[in-house]
Amino acid sequence: MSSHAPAAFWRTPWLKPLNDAESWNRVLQLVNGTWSLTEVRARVLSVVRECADAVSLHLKPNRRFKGFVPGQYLRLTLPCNGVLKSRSFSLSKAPTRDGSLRLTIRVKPDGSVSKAAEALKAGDVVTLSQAMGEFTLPNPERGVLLLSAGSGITPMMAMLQDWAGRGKRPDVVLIHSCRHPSEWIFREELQTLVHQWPGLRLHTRFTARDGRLHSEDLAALVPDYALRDTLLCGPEGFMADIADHYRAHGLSARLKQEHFQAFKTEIRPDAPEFRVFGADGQAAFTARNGQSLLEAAEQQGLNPAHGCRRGICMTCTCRKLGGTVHNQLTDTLSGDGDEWIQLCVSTPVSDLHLEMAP
Amino acid sequence: MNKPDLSPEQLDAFRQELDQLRADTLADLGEADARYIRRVRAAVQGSAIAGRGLLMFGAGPISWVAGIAALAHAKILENMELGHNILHGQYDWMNDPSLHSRTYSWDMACAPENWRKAHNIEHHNHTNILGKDEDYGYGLFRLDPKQRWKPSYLIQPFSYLMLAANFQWGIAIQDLKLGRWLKGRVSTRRMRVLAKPFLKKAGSQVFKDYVLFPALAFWQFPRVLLGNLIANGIRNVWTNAVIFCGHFTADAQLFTIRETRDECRGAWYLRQILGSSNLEGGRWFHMLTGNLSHQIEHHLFPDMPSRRYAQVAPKVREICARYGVHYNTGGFWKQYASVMWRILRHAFPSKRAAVPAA
Repeated sequence: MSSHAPAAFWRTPWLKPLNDAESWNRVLQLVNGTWSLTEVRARVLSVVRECADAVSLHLKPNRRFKGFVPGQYLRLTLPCNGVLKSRSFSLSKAPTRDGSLRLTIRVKPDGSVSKAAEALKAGDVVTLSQAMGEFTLPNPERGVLLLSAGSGITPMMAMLQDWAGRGKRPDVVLIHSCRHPSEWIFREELQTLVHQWPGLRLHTRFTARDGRLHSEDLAALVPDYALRDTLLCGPEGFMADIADHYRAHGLSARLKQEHFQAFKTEIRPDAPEFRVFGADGQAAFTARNGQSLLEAAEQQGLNPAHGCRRGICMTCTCRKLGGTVHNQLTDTLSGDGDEWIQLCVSTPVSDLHLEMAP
Repeated sequence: MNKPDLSPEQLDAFRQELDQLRADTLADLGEADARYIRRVRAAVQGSAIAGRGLLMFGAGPISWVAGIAALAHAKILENMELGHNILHGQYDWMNDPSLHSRTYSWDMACAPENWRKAHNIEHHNHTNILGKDEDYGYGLFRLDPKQRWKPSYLIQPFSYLMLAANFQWGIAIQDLKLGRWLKGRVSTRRMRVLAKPFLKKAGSQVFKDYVLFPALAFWQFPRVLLGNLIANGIRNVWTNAVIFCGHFTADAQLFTIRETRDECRGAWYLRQILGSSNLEGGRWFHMLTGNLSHQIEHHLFPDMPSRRYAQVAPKVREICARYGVHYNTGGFWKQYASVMWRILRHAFPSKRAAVPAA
């Protein structure tokens, strides 16, 4: 933001609603759903089924979108039965000349966002964030090992497409796991790519038949794995096993990881329950240790503002006046005083005082 | 009208039926409710742009009157169906910051933070309790023999006309409780701090309607200024009429603090019904009252999206009939005339002894 005088004048609250971008956005959207002065909004070009349980959204963002590096993700916001919900998805296609984007989404039977995404039609409009994330390797300097499982293939696909388009293609091994051939996302795309690109080796593993890929299997499949830059994306259990192995062998510097699951922890049956008081001193709700404050509040009929549910977007940030919480994302304990916390990744360790929306 | 004589068991059964009705309705919220409120917002915006456009760029008296009508329509619909209901948190479940009670601000002089306290907390909890509900007579009017008569009430028919024409200002300063300051119970310094949100909000409203928009019309500024003044006035008179019909009609009861001490949830529901009154009318009429024509349902379920009141009203009425609870409803003119009569009648002393306020 520039800070010279005319800009500062333009931002004074006295000029509302004329200088209020939100108001203008709403007016613009009456004309065209993707028009916005500030937000990235995108029109759905098509919804394509990739495999038994995954669909791709092909999107055309408006000019607010600043582009991305393959491997990055963004937050998709769309109404699910009237409720605006946001989830993060990796961009699964390298940047193209026409600026279109692809998000590939695993449709879960109980996933409201993925179901709503599946039900989108060409012409619908969704809201996006800018691209985010450090899970990128724009210029590989040595061999690359990609380890993906399930929808963890999505950021890998964008990177592979990007590298395939280069003059000097890197030497890449991709080990992809999925439960069953029918759940293999990008099967044809990958096979075509392997065909055209001799330096790309593909190992697929169907876990229903072959069992999960373990860190011990790596050496057999890729003898020089320790010399390669490794990118890892998949379900938490799979990632934890590989990451532990890399750590134990002093290879952490070679490993980049992308966690894509909504933050969820188990609540032990004997977990203690704590009370959460509002700023007015009245008990607002109760939460058990291990349960996120956001989830607990929602279960008890409250509607705190929230976004990504995984500690990224800061929408659910609220002021803690007293009490201690455990941040499940960073695995740290808070102080016991006045500070900002994120409801979606905080679990109580004591009774709490929170300043929530009235 | 007397209070029905319900046993504690009956009161609890009464509560359960209403709780169930609330739970069933809230469980059904979704797409249609979200679409409705967004459409209302689009209508408000369209109407406001048309109204302000006609006032600024129109020529001649017809476009002036049409501009005033459109702007008054926009302000009424915005204050009643959008602002009031959003600030109650009726649409918090949508997780849309632009429709969330914590972030929404309306097109009138009252600061949302003052409103949420004076209206949502005090009026809705202590509805029609003498000495606790500041909305009962607004400290200006005597509407019931239980209120002690003072000679100053003699002018209340006149002060009513003044309040009706300037209703937004009455609402805006209500939470400041200026009486405390006039009587010297609150210091001027403290009052200045308390008045900050009001001064900011009121200042920006005055600036917008009486400086900014008139100035943008250059030589047409008197036309815009006067038009805005009249549109605000129409909104004031209308909202005042609707709101006075909510609790001051002939059969709307007043309660004492003693009567309501240790009140259970069932008795709270009962008081909300006996203290409120509905207005009958068509779909457009209900919309322009912000569905406060369903005042009884609104007071039972203040956080239920207002478009649902019409749907639950027959069920509430049926439950009331079974428990012998009077359901106060009638046409607008009949109800409003009874309010006018109470204002006139109780300007003069009554024979019945006043009940002490505390």
